[in-house]
Amino acid sequence: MRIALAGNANVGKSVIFNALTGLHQHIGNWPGKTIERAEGTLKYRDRTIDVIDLPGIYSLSSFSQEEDITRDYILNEKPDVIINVVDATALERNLYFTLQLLEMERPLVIALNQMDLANTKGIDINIKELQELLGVPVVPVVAIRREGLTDLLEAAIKMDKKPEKEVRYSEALEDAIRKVEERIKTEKYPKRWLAIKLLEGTAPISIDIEDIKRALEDRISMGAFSYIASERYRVVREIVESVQRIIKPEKSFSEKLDAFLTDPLTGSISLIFFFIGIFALIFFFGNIVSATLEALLLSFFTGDNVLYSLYEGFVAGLTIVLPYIVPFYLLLGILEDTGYMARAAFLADRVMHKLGIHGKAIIPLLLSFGCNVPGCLGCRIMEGERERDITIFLSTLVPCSAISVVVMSAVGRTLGLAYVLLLYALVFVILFVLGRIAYKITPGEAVGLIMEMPNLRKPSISVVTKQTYHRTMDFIEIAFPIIIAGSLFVGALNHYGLIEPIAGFFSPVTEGWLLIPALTGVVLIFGVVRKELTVTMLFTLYGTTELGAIMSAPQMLTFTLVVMLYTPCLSTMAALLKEIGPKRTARIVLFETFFAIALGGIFARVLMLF
Amino acid sequence: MLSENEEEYLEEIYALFEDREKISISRISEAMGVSKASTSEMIKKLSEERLLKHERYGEIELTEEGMNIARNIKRKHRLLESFLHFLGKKDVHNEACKLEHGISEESADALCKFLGAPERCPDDGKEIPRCGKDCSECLKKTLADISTGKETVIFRTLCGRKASMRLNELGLLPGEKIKVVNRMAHGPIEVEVKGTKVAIGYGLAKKILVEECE
Ligand SMILES: Nc1nc2c(ncn2[C@@H]2O[C@H](COP(=O)(O)OP(=O)(O)O)[C@@H](O)[C@H]2O)c(=O)[nH]1
Repeated sequence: MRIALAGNANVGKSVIFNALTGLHQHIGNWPGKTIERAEGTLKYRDRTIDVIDLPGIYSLSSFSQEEDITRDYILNEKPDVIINVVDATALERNLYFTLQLLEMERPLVIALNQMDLANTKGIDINIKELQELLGVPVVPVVAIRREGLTDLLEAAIKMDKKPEKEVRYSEALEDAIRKVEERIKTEKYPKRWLAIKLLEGTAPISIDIEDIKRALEDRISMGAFSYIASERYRVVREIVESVQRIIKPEKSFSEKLDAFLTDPLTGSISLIFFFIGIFALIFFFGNIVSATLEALLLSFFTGDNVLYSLYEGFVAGLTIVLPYIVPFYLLLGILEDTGYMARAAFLADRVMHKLGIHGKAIIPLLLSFGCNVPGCLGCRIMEGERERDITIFLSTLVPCSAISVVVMSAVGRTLGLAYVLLLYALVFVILFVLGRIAYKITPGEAVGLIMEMPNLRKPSISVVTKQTYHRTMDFIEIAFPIIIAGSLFVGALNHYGLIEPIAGFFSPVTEGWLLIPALTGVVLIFGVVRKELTVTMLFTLYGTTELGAIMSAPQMLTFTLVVMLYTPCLSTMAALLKEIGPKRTARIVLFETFFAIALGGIFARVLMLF
Repeated sequence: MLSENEEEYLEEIYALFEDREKISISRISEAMGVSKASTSEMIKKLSEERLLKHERYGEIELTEEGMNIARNIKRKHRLLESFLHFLGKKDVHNEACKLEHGISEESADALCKFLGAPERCPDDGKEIPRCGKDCSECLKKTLADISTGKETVIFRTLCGRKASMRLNELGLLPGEKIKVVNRMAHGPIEVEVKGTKVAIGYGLAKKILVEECE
């Protein structure tokens, strides 16, 4: 038996999924998509039940990949039962989606989740009546406390017929639906559902019904899509009005906190405060742990053969994941789960708009400060390819924690903090300018911000740890093989004495154009594996950590600027490949490499003027 | 009655005037992509009709009558562009160029009212000339004009198809009463609709026409 969980975003589907399947899960991707596919099994009374968590969505018209996936899965794979998870605190919004599920004519059970929150909000729902009006079982649950889940399972197992009630819309619409139904020959989709989708203009197949649609639009004097949406909401409102009573609409603590956190003044200040705090924490904590860990692990073995570089690569990966990635994901997960990220996006929208993207981009861009890999993966949340492409491009330019290590230990130690800030300021200006340009030249329609603001709430430990775990594994899967293979390759070059010739080969670029020592050419190549290798290798090559003795101040600044801007590291490239394919990845890598070198040369010459 | 061709020339001259460019035969022929010979022939004709003044080798200047006609055509052009944009059409300029010659004054005024008396054309951001009558009756506020704590009713959304659909699905439909719960100056606006909160970017909010309620 197969059960599919479907519902709007943020209703508690994953919590229910986890509670049902426990450890028997398989997390992968939908074929050809970058959207997570979570499947699991559970044993219940000698039965094995497969559960699949469909991506959270707004509605079932084809806009984003999530919605296509859910629709196709339900219609083509025909799960035995659909559990529609509904947020009891936002009944009206959620039932809009329920109506569409009903039209798909699969057996349906409703899990009315977050009943605890509904109670504290003073929302009273007459479940029996709701059940009658919708014609499907409605089970109240509190997923985070596992309340009602057994009842839910029982109801789902018993459910074996398609919904008995049909929602009736206005006469004008019903007329049009009937006429369209007459033209539908295919058996592949439920007739009524397909007819409505054809009228909306979002059907998966095309049948010529333009005349009917036009006649309908003439009759109602508005667009068919808007009209159907308004009809659905009219039906939903009637249902909600008869089943729901709000007892005490009193401002709760979370609403007051929300007002504080999204107030233009206090909100912006807390936003800045939060992020500086997070970075400081990760940075200091990360640096200490990373250094200790590396020293410890490398003290176990020593050697300089090719195999040793394999171990080095492994250590390199570990010293990024444990100190930087895990804590960063953890804090981010907390911010997300509380609903704070939506507030951050709200506050940042105006600034982000100047970069041609909207507020949501703040999330991947912030992630990128930790590491570009999760940053690039995080760009999935941007709806619209255009926004995603611009955000991904900018993410790869954000100086990650590895780059901060370079800047601090090269420039910070020898020239002081003022120069560090100067370099950062310069990179931000460049980011801004390139963002503007990308905005101008990237084709496609700019979609403004439309974002549901979830309720502010206490984070759930299990949701956060689970998410951190999956994200970390995602990172390890992408980055580890590359880091290790890269180290191996570089180790081999070193072993066979190919380093010097390569340095010589690149000397026209390094010595000639960038005006920095030829040996830096080698470390720039190594830096592609991992950015902080650029300095650590310099230390090893010259046998000193006093870079002031090797390079002059302008040389150091040029070198660091190039490191900050040039090609994304190998792990980031792997992430890019996964997200945007080889062509666009190549474009970004080539552009950034040439851009950094060109700019570096100019920068070096400008510095000579001082 | 002027011919379509004459109207096109007047419109182009008006555009050059708007951009404060020097108006000469060569500039006009360049802007319209036609030969200098046919331009100068047309200028001569328009000058005979007293729609513009042209001294030999001097600058071209529209007469008051010519200016009125030209401005009116430009107005129709940009209103039509706004409308086609609303319909979700892509290449709005060329279609508007054809329609502008056929549309009557009454229809243009009605169109202006329908669109909530927009100030600027969504295609090129240029100002839409006013009809000269009292605008207050047609002028609609947009969601971007509503301050925090106020309730308002959606009149119509003028944004692109995709955004429009998304808004519809979130319950932001004509006739829906919504409340602005929070906003940033020139930034996004948070509204309460259907019992949940939705944040809408500033640019989008400017395309949502609303009717104020007391
Ligand atoms: N108070 C309360 N919170 C819940 C309940 N179920 C889920 N949540 C919270 O709702 C948030 C979103 O849940 P999640 O399962 O990630 O939503 P999804 O997007 O539908 O998968 C999490 O922070 C959960 O802790 C519930 O029954 N009561």
